[in-house]
Amino acid sequence: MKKIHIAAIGILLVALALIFTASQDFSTYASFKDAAATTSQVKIVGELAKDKEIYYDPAEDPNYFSFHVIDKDGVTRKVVMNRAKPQDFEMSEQIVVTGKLQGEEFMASDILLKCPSKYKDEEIYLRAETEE
Amino acid sequence: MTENIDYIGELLWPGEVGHYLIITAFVAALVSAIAYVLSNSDRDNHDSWKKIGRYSFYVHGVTIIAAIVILFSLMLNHRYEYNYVWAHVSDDLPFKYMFSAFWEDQEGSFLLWTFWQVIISVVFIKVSSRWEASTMWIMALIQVFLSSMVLGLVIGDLQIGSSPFNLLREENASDVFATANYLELIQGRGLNPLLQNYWMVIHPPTLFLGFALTSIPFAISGGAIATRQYTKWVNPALKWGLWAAGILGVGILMGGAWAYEALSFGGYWAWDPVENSSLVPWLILVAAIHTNVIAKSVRRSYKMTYGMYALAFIMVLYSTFLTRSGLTAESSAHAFTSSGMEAQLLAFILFFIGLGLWIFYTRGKFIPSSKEDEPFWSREFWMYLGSFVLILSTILITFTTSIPVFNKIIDFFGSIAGQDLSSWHRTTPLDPIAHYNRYQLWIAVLIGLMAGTAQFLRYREKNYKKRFRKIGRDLLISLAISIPLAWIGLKWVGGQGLGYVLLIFAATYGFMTNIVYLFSGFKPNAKKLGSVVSHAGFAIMIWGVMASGLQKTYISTNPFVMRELVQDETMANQNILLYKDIPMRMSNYEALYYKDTLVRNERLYSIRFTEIDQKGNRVDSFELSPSSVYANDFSEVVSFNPSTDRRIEKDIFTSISALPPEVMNVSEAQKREKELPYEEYDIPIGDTIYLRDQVAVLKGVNFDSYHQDYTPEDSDIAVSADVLLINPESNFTFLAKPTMVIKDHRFVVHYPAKSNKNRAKVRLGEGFVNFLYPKDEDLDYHKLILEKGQTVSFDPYTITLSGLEKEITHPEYEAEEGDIAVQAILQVHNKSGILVDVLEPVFVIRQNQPNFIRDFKPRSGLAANFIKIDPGTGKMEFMIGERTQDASDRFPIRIAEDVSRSDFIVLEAIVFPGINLFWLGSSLMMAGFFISIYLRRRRKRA
Repeated sequence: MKKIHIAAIGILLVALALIFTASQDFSTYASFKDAAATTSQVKIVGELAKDKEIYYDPAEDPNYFSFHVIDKDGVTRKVVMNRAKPQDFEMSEQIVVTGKLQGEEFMASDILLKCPSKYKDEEIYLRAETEE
Repeated sequence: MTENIDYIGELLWPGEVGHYLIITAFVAALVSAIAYVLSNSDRDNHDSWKKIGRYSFYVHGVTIIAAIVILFSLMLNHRYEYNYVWAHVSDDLPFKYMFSAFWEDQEGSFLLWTFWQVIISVVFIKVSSRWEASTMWIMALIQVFLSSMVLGLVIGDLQIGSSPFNLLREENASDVFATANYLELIQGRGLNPLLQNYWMVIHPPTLFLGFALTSIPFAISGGAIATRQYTKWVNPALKWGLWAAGILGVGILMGGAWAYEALSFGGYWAWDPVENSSLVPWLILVAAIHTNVIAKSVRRSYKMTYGMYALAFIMVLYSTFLTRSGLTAESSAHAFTSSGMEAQLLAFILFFIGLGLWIFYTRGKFIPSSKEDEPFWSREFWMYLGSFVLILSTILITFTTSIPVFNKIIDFFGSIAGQDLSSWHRTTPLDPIAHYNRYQLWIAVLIGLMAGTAQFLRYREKNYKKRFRKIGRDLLISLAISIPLAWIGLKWVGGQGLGYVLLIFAATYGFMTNIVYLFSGFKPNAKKLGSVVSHAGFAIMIWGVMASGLQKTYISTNPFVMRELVQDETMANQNILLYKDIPMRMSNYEALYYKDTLVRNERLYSIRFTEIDQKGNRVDSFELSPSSVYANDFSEVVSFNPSTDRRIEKDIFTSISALPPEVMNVSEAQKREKELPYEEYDIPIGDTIYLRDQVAVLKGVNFDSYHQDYTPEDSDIAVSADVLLINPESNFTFLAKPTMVIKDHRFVVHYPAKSNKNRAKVRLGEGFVNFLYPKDEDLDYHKLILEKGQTVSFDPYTITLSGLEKEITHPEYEAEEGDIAVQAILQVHNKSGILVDVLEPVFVIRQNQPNFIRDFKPRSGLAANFIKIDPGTGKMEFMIGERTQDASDRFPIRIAEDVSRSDFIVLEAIVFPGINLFWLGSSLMMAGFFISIYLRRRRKRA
């Protein structure tokens, strides 16, 4: 066997080892129940509870944003983010929040929204303007 | 049904021609591929087959370009009967964004890609004619697949490709298609406002040129090996490989620059799946170039070079699949949505994987490969290792990016086994940037250490001890300079942990070794330049990445203002609130938002920053204008564009992160307007209203100047009131001009006036409708008989019948068949002879019955009815109404107090130190490829 082959196999082994260690980053989606059981960060997939309050008042505090998420088990909890409210938040079909539970509130450090694409499936604009 | 309607104004032939052109292009590519294959196998008729192949390819090229020209002219002419035109163009889209609109979606971007493949192939036939027959059959096969993507043929249940020439009414269901003249009713949807940016004009063509160029080293090497020319291809492959890596690299960098400059990502690279999938082919190309150089120099690694070129091309196809299949939509900010062409894309990939493997397994045994082992301290061995490290990097990136694909595969097996395997699904990393950086850091360390050291090694090194005596001094010098320099760097970027220490050292050492290598042997050696520039560029780039990444600081913080309940301090202080005209302290800056201006669909917020040193002195000041972008119909704000103060040592990046809800969204503004606690005051002109904090004076009612947002149109009836708000404490005054408009004599539109400083909003009461458009019972009518040209007095005015008009312009008139209608033109002058109003009442005979359409003008307060024409005498009878006195002396003014301010912005400001090192380094890295191309060509000529 040539050195170069050994090097190639070595690189492949390193790749496998790294992927194996990296796989802890590839989590599964947790629920609020799982979040209560751990102190580390979890990723929760759910829907926005549209009947509950979505609070963001930039004039009061531009870094405080709260809303409610229903997780895949149907549990609803308040989620708080110390950040500005993302665009098109209300339109989201699915929400993925990353963070941890603190008391009753879920403190989110990151949020990912799955929105129906705005520029697809849209009504055909008519030339006539619609006014008040 | 709609099929039976004869539509008016549709221009259908260009679409049909375009569609047939694409079909011709597809067939021509197929013919060309077959002819080129035959030219390789049928050696007796080699030249004639080659000619057929070439001319078929030209036919393919011409038809593709013609189809592009047709589609582009349809877009320029706003032919909304075509779905692609309607979906991406609108009447107000400027010409420069037509290009962006062209390649915004799947079909257009496939055409762009196909176009570049054509151009590259034609250039290739001219400059590398010796390799034409062996290469072009693969290029033609690629064209077969690419043009099939826009074919739009339906055979049974099978749809092949999606045509850009599909009609709007075929693609969409809407009631509007029930009318034959639907084209007059519809409007183009327009280009996504996020893409109305000049980067969108230049980034995609460059990237697709890079993608197209990636195919050619694969076609050259694969084609040559398939036609039993096992070694000579390394020369043309290297030349084209360098072009591919250079252009693709520039394309990727443009994407980074766009993200940094125009999108509010807050960085140039986010390890987004779409970004990754163009980076991976580039990394493989770079690895292939290294093994190609080895193959040229020491005649080994032909197989490996071919394999890497093939892999680079296949990864381009895989990246196309990932971004266009909708699979990455969950993890990516800018992937296409699903196109329904997944199967076709998959066939594209599988075909070329199959072709690549077939060439390898049928011809591999004939490719010469060196039996002897390469010496450990030889240049080639370390270049191999370098390539392997790059491949390792791509394996790691691709694995994480492919998680959605793995989930799909798991589902596929689940469906075979009839089990739900969704518990096996994995998600993409919680923090993708940290995830990728953690592993790619070590790749960068290895590259930094090797990039310079390997330069000093020689090919086929036998006597490394002697060599080390010679180069040892140079390496030691590099090391000696690198250690203190890296230490200074570490102090600057402030990285913690072994990884960062090693990274900054590796980058510094990589830079120093390359510089020393360039000047070793007493004179700078031009031959080395390309490689040295690229490798040193890489090292500089790593410095820039570390400085801008680790030292990135939010300056939009003001600890005194922030609430205490924020738990997570790192996130808490990213945004600051700026009220208009109120200076605000943030970190060591004072920020003042003082103006906003609307430019097309973008509102620019001008902010003046003043830097303040520790003693409180003003040391520097500059202006930035981050902006918000409205949807094409202005109904809401859809994105924020940043603005950056660029300096040599650092960038100050600002972006708006939120605006008041009523500014963000029209329906929110309407909702809030309805909820405002308006009080109505019925007062005559000159009266003062005493409010809680201030007084308001009704200065007048006028028809000449209106609210700033209102632009008068012909058929409008509009009025505004001048209401002066005076705050007795601050002595601040504001002249509000609330305006009311009746549009088309049908709907009422209000323009309330707001003073943020007075925290008050003024609106006209609904009673103004009667002022603008009074009921007949509120008018006193007098009969007036006039001849054409006659003037009579009507205190305090004079009225002249200046003419009659058959063309009816009155907004309330709707023509019916059999109507006889006349519109009178009555000029109203005041005592000084100045024209005040023109009254245009209409007299209509409909089904033998006379009808009158009144015209009222609020300025004179006169109404006119045209009630009789005496054909014998030519006399015409009018009823002229004037307002009864008491209807015009009191006006309903509505005022709301304690209205929350809506003149603020929430701003995010970040300092990126040393980011120019990133741009400098990465640009040098790409420049190295072009320097190499230039030097190689010159050497060949010499």
